[in-house]
Amino acid sequence: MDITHPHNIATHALEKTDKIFLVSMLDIAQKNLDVYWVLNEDSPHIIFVNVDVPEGKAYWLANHTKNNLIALAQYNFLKADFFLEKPIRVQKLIDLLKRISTEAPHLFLKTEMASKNNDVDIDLVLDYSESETEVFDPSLYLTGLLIKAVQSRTAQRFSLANSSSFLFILPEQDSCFTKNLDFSNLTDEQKMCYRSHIKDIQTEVVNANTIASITQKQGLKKYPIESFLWASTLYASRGRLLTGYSTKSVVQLKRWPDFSIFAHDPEHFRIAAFMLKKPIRLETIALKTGLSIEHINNFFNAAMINQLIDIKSNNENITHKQAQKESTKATEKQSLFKSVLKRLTGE
Amino acid sequence: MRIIVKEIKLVFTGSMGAGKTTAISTISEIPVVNTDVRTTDKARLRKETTTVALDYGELTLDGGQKLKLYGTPGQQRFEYMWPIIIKGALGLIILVDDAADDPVADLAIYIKFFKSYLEDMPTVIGITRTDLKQGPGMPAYYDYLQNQDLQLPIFPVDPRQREHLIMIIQTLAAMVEVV
Ligand SMILES: Nc1nc2c(ncn2[C@@H]2O[C@H](COP(=O)(O)OP(=O)(O)OP(=O)(O)O)[C@@H](O)[C@H]2O)c(=O)[nH]1
Ligand SMILES: [Mg+2]
Repeated sequence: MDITHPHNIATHALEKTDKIFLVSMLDIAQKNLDVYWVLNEDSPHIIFVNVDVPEGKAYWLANHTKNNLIALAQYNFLKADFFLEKPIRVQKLIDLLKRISTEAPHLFLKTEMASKNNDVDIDLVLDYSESETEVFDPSLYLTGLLIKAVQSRTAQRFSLANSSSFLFILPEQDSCFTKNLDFSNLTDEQKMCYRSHIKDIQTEVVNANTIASITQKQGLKKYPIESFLWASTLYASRGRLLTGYSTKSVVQLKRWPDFSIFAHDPEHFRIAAFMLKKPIRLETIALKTGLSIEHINNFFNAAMINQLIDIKSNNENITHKQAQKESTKATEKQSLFKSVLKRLTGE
Repeated sequence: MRIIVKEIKLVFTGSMGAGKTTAISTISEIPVVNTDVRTTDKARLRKETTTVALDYGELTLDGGQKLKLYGTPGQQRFEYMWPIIIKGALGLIILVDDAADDPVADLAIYIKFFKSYLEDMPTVIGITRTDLKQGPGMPAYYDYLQNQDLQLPIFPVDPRQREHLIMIIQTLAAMVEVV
């Protein structure tokens, strides 16, 4: 564990007892976590907010779009993505902090950029087992390596045995570098790279200058790290969902994904359109689009890793009441759009 | 008996110089019918010609139906025409010139104006001229939409490129499926 680069926690409107609880639980939780968390009110990465009191709730409402707030309350009445129940329990705290590390790696990008460091000796050896599981574990793929690199702020080169280096990451610039990519049309070879298992990926710590000179020499392009968190997750998922979710999970996109930086095919626009409008079950999207559930799951994972998804409670009102009334109009429009696209694409 | 033929149309709207005329020319099978005139006064500094009434293009579909492509005039003094044009449209495309002085404010004008249509009419936002790298870039527009609590598809597009327009129409089509 890298204790020279802790992840900072601040609190807002916490009662004294809760704060004492938090501090002592954090201490106990620490040995189960591979990131070092400390209470540091000055430059926090995340903030625990006591939303049970008016001051905390007001703070929440004003700031929650920054996505770095953790709601602390007796019940998750705000439907916060990151929520910790009162009274605080160790296991719940551990689960939460782990989830934040995997699901919200970006929270730790910005402030870490400030302090520079080139001599971090990070342990890149990840624990993995080869067994094909039912769930998708991002730490076994490039996604996990990228998150680790971000957390440890280590510039790295990723390469595969049978090809040259395919990706550089430079966390201090929030960037990756690689050959010119067309995200609307990745080649099979590129997709294979991004879906690689970590056992096939060689990582090498490099410094920013090396990256700069290689980038210049080989004409590499600069991309946001999100692009590769997305691509890696999209292609490595192979139909399996992230742990904790099922095809019955009710989800909604927080916003339209920026497809100019995310690998996609036209089907992804359809999935995104369904996920954007209102909360919907993953299996319902498959049903309505006629796409395979695997396709939907892959998209969901990639969007989840990039913090684009709100998980809704399962009893969310997902009845499609007006559906009946509007369906004829909709079918007519659908077939019109089909012929427009047929005309334009010549297919 | 009079046969009422329903008009099938897509509407391109958005700020001056955002590329509405260009977009319609890119996909229309007939030369775009428009009323571009030389710009006067201060607009002259920005571009040579501007559309005063409308742009009009066409695409013939299977079975001979015609898809009509309308572009609204970019200058706001013609905004009285917008509701007439948009009535009954299949979809709305809002184009915003990223290289303009205040493109987020431009987007806001069109969002405000068409707000009442957004719920029912498939709408996609296209940010143009991002290749010039003079504007605020995509995050600024995402922030605006988030603040307005609007969930709308948004893409950087170059209206000179057919594939970009196809991508927008594919997205409009997907939105129709979502009832
Ligand atoms: N470089 C670049 N130029 C663009 C892009 N989109 C449009 N243009 C150019 O911008 C100019 C203005 O485009 P128009 O199609 O006339 O814009 P308009 O929306 O019809 O403008 P008004 O009719 O005045 O409202 C044209 O010269 C286009 O070629 C883009 O994405 N990149
Ligand atoms: Mg014009």
